[in-house]
Amino acid sequence: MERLKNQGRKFITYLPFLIAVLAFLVATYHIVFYR
Amino acid sequence: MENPTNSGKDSLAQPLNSFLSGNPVLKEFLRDQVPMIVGVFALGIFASYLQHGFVPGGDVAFPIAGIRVPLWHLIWMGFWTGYLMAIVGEASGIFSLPYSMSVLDFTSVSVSPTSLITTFLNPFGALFGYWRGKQWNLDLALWLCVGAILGSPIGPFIRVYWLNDPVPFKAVIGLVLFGMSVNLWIQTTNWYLKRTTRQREFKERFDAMMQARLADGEAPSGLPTDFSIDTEEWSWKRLTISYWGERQSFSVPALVGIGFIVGIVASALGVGGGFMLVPIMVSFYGLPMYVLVAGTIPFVIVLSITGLISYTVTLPLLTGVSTSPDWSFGLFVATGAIFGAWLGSKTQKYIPEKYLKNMLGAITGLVGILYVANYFWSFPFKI
Repeated sequence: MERLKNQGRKFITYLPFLIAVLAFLVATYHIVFYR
Repeated sequence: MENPTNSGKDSLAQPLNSFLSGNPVLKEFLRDQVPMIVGVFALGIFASYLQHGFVPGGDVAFPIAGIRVPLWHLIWMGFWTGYLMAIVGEASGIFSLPYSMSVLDFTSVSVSPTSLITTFLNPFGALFGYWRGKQWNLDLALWLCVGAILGSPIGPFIRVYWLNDPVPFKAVIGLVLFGMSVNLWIQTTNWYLKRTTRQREFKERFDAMMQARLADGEAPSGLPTDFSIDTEEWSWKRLTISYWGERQSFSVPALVGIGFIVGIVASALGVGGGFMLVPIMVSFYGLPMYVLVAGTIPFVIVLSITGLISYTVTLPLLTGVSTSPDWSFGLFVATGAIFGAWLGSKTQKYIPEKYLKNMLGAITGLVGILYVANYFWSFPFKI
């Protein structure tokens, strides 16, 4: 459990950058298919 | 007939309770956030039927916004803007508004009141935590809110009469974004970190206390039980508060003046005002973020509600111009924003703030320059 929590904390460090990339991809998808 | 070995009572509750007591963040999420998120989403569905008679989305356009967008995308937009902005200590509006205009193509005046629905609900995700943690001082919030009540009804008139066209409106948003970019960049400089000694000392004491709490298995957020923001002196001219051994005095007319000016600008744009209020309060008074939220959270809520009233009631009554918000659009975005803001506040301490501020500063700066440049030159692509 403790190992899992440590892995989670490491992942959280990169989460905002991952979310920013995903936001860019979703925005591109919307512009291509919905506008 | 009762089973002698298992009465049926607490058979699942006991292991569940012990699991939740070992995971206080999950417990807080289930207790505070889930009901709110589900409630706001249900309110969005209800508002859809009430305002439009159907649920708009990817197939049928939102009638007021005039755009087709799947509901998951609205929730996603609320989530990521709420999450990223909560990490840098602000609300989602200043990010979700340009995204709504440039990506979703929601460019009518209604985008501003619709955005105010989100900025009104967004802080509620964190509100319970601040209230429980005694990060609460209604005397400090009161004068800022008085300023917001006086200023925010004026903003919608500016929006309708001078910033009606999307191009100049985007140019103003561009200036705001560029200012925010500079502010984010300044926050990462050594000069700023040295200058804000009080915040740093407070943060060091706070971090030491947090480590001790984490070691005891408590939630990685919140303040010590003896923390409170107390009012030392209260008059029409002066307000003095104290917190954790520190004292800070404010001029009441200055607080009302700050609330008034931020109220006008924020309600004209359709954002919460944190993007202006936070840098002003930090620069003028050097308040740590843990104390600042006692003033900014109620301020954003009051500003959003008075701004919304002005857009939906005062403005149409006095001018005949209808600027109804798309209630369901705003509520669906708020569903994601509440969760995003809560997650951001919980994970903030694990994120390398400097890189994040640089990244957000670069994005907001670039978008800001493009918006302002778009006012002077027309681009071959739509922004």
